[in-house]
Amino acid sequence: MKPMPSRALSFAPTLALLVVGCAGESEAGGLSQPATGPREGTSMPSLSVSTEEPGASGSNAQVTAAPSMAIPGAPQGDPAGVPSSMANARGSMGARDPGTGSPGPVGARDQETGSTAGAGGDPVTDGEPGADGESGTDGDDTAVGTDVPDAASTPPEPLDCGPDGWVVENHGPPANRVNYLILADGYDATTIDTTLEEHIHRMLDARFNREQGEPYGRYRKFVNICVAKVVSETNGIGNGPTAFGGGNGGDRLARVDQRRVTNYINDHIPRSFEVDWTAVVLNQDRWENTGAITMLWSGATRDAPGAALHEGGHGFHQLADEYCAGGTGTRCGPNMCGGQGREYAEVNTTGDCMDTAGKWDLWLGTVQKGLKVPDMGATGLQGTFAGSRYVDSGQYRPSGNSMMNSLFGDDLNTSYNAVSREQIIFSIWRALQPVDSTEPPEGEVTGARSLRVNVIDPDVVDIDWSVDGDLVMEAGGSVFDVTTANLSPGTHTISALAYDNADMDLVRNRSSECPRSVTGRYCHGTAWSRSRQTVSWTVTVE
Amino acid sequence: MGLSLAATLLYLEGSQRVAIGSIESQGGEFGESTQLASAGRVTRQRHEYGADGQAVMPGGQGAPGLSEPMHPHPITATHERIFRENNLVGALNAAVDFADASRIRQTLQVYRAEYPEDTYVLQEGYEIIAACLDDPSAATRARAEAFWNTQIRSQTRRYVRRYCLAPKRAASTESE
Repeated sequence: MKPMPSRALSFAPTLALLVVGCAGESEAGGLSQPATGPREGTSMPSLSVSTEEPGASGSNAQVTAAPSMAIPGAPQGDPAGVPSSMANARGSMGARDPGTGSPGPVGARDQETGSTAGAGGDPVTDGEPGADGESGTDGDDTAVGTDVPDAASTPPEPLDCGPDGWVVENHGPPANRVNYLILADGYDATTIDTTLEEHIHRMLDARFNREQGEPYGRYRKFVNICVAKVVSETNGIGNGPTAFGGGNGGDRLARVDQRRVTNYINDHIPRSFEVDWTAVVLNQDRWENTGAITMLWSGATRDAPGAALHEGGHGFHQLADEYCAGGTGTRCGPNMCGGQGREYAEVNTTGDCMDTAGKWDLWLGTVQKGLKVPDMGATGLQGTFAGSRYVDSGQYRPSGNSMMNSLFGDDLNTSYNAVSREQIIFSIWRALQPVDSTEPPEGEVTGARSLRVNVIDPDVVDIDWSVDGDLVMEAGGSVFDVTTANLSPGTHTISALAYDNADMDLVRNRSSECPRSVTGRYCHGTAWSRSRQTVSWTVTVE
Repeated sequence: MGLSLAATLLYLEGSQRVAIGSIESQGGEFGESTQLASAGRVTRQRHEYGADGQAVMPGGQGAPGLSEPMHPHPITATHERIFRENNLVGALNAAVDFADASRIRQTLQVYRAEYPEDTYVLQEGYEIIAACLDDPSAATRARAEAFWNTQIRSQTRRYVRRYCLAPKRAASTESE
């Protein structure tokens, strides 16, 4: 804990904004485009969004519980009064005992080690129907003499992935996690527990253990992953009937029978698992992948993990291909400015080499650091590289190479570049808020010895504690010890601000505004505001 | 496209590379080339070329053919249609984030027209969210509840919950 005498929150210092000329600059790396300062904390014009979503517990929890039951595992601040029929979704769908749910090594490891505080959420309230109302987010509740248990070793509630479900990643309540569903196609009874698991683990290794998979590694506890082990009649794609009719969609695209996919989800996936991402892994080694709403990748190809990451960039994060007509990677063109082009909706391609139409001007001139090993770097200089989105000129990409360009191989320059990483982080936060629960529940508390905030991942989410409006601990951890805070007798408001501790090498667009070029079309930047959440208690000290 | 591409077949004889013939292919069709992968061994790869003449990542588990520029896939009308839908969904998501019911409906009209199949029932989800933003009534809430309960496949469920099933609590907060 770092006691703070006064509020001292700030981010990295603002760097000077320099006007960059473009004419005549054409050599790779020859145009030094300095970074501008963080776009943070500026006034929000008409297009800004509220930090708190409807019903969020951003203020002192004077919230009346919904008359009906809450979604299982709904976090504080994201309550939903839903019918009792929904509240019983877990039971009605025939939840599996996680101990018999054939968790793979990844899920098993998490279950064994337990998650750090917050990852499991509130053991009392999470996953239970009516949790919000019962937990006392209703301001009428008054906790007395609360002693906060050690939640650091509390594992998450079991995750229900349905009758065929393999719990691959369980990090907390589905209502406050991005939920990624992967369906298996072309795996028969002889390969569903072998080949499929191998394909999934290869994908996971790239996603979590390699620089190319970042920022998914950093935000691992933000995403639950279920794999539906649907057994196909025949093994492999193209050998006969399969569960989802997978096959060649033409032009290196894979295809599945969408009706079968969506019918399966409706019939077999628990209501508590709000599906955010849907993918199908195909048991074939043909280079056929699809970056659509249903993301498809062929699990047996050499670069299958890269394909899953690349296509996910399209289907889940609305990123553009960054390769040009003439090739991929650095073959496309150098960092330069040589003419304007059309402005598309995607945030990682621009026709404006002067300032990227506001898309990644804050990144210009920076060199991307690695997330695994910062000094090893990733995609290098961020600039305006000529050639992107299938054309050689008039369209620019943020880096020489990247995951959305030439995904092949293991070079660090096939990582997501800074712009894509930022976009991925935004689209994760769009679904979530930092706080899973508090102990005791927000509201009036008498005689409390300590207060706890359970966040999604305390390694990613820091907590600043304030008493009566004065910051007393910056990045102070999950627990506030009331007994050692030297509070005078009487009533005090104790607040905890939970926020993503991403530094300026990871997130620069912090204003929650959309770049002007994508306003009205597409922007996930508004989601950054959701990465900050305040919870409060009114504590009476006797 | 009629783009004629030539690829030469080689084989390794001793330490010499010897041309043994060539094939012609049209753009978008298969070409064939041989790579010298390791000493004394010849591997043959079939490359598909897009309409732009660019080789496309081959299938199978062989080397990805890094000896020449290669696209992960060609760009076709099908690809463009997929990415167009991704962008429309992104635009709808942005409109939802701004709680802009008018923009949701405006974009939804385009989405419905261009992608009537809507197998994930996204369109109804967005429509319900817009209705909740405009008229957070018991009727819209009931419709949202029914949707959340039954359309498990829809990736809009989280946002239907957020914008339709939570505001009632927010309203009560304000009234207090």
